[in-house]
Amino acid sequence: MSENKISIENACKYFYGKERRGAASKFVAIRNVSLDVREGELLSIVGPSGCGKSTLLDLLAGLEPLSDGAIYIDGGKVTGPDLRRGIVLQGYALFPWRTVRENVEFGLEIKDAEKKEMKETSQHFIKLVGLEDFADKYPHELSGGMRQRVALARALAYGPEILLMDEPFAAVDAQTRETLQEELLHIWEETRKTIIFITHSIDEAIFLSDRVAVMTSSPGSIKSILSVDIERPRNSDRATAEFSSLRREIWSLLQNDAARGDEIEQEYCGEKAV
Amino acid sequence: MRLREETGTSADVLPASADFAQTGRFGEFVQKTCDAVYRSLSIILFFAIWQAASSLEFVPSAVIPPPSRVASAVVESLLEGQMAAMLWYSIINVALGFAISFIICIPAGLVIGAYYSRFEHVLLPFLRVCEKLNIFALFPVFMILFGIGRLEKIMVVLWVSQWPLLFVTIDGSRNLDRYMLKAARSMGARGWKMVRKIIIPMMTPYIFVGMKSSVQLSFFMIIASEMVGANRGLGWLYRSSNHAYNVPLMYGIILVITVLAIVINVIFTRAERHFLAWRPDTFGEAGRKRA
Ligand SMILES: Nc1ncnc2c1ncn2[C@@H]1O[C@H](COP(=O)(O)OP(=O)(O)OP(=O)(O)O)[C@@H](O)[C@H]1O
Ligand SMILES: [Mg+2]
Repeated sequence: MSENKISIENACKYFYGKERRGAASKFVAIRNVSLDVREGELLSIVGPSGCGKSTLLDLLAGLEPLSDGAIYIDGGKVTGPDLRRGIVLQGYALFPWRTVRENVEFGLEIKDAEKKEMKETSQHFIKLVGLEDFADKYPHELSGGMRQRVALARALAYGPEILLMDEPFAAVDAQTRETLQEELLHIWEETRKTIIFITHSIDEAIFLSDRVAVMTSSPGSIKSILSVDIERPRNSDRATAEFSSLRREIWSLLQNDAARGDEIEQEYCGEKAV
Repeated sequence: MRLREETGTSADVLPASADFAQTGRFGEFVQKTCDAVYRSLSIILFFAIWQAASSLEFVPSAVIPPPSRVASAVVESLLEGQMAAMLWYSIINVALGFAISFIICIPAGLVIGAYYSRFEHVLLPFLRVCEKLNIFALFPVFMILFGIGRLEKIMVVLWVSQWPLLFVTIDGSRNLDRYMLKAARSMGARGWKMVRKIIIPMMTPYIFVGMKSSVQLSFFMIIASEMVGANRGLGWLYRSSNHAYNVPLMYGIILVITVLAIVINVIFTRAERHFLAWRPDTFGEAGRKRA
């Protein structure tokens, strides 16, 4: 227990729809998710679209209350957002009225950090993600990959111990994606943060992670957790036998879930939400 | 603006343009003047035709005096000090009414937008009805309630300027980007900091749209109300020049009001360019909205 950085115990999340014709609808987004993450671990989560990955991340960040179960971080129960966890949301959610630097400084500003410290820290992280030349640009002047880096720098800047990342590299081309993956690993090795990484790419999950958690389709729960025992630094051509067999394994886990998913009736009490 | 500066590296590409730069200020001035003349060609033409038609009596100059006489009437009134005083009086009343309306409507709009479902059926239908009340029919009511004078005019401005501000703020506060809010929350933003650093910047484009139509409507309506009943102000001056058969001054005031509207528009466009510099298409967007 104690060596686990994050410990998720039977987490459930329900969404309640608007009342229609008298019957309130309840939608089960995730059901009985239990998962332990070790200190300094990089764990990926893969699962079919809509299975509740983003929802799980919101729970971890404390942005949404749990419907049932509990999440512990360093043994303490999560009750709301705090700066020990940084989150990179799906779609980045940069603030368009702030320049790259101002975006990165946001968390520090909220903490009322000193101007000088703020400046130094933002400079450090902007450099870390390779955007020195773009520090004074606005988000709309950046490419998708650059925006991605800003989101990462922004989450890193206030020094969280845990980094939660939601499909961060989804919107960039294959080459940029690989570069960003390498950069993430580099940052991870440097800072030794605990990272939970959501992705739709099986390759990405294997390449990055210590372990890969596979989720079932909606309502999401953890189907299986696989260890990736490939030695680091990993070969970026991703064609070794170990790599292939893991890929096949995860693929089939996702595959037969998708097939089964058609027959499983979604768990609704009352009417379907939206 | 920014973008253009950075992409405008044409000086490196076209060596010829260096010569242009050396012809210096004067060349630039000529260029700019030509541009300005070209763009205002239709207006210049309009005045020229008017001048000709009226002074050659194609139209009776007693009814439509030539622009030269209109201009001299305006200058005369300005020198007497009356025009400036009346203009100033109207502007101050609009400014005060608008300021009060701004202070009330922005917070009110934020709150109503934030708890929209609660207000939707209770308060909003009432507000919509109020907005639809005919303001011209209300002028006498305001006069009875507040007595003809400054207070009454400020109340008229307050009344007409609040609707665009209020509804646009409600709209904006209902359309806040929830992912940005989430991101801000994850970094510890709460309460007043959230409002100041996230919600207000997110709302600025909306508030600008509301402010623009609010101010324009305010000027429109204050002049109308001054024409109905007042003893000062630009509308009153118009009315009294009408009574005195001072036809040139009447046209002059119409022109002054038009110029005022243009000046306000320019001020807002400048302010928008300054405060919304971060937007990719401040002007494209605004243009689309106006269309
Ligand atoms: N605020 C909400 N209200 C109601 N339903 C919600 C809400 N947020 C998410 N859901 C539902 O919960 C389910 C899981 O959504 P979630 O965003 O977690 O999926 P996901 O696994 O991240 O999908 P993707 O891979 O497409 O990003 C979806 O069916 C979604 O409709
Ligand atoms: Mg998602």
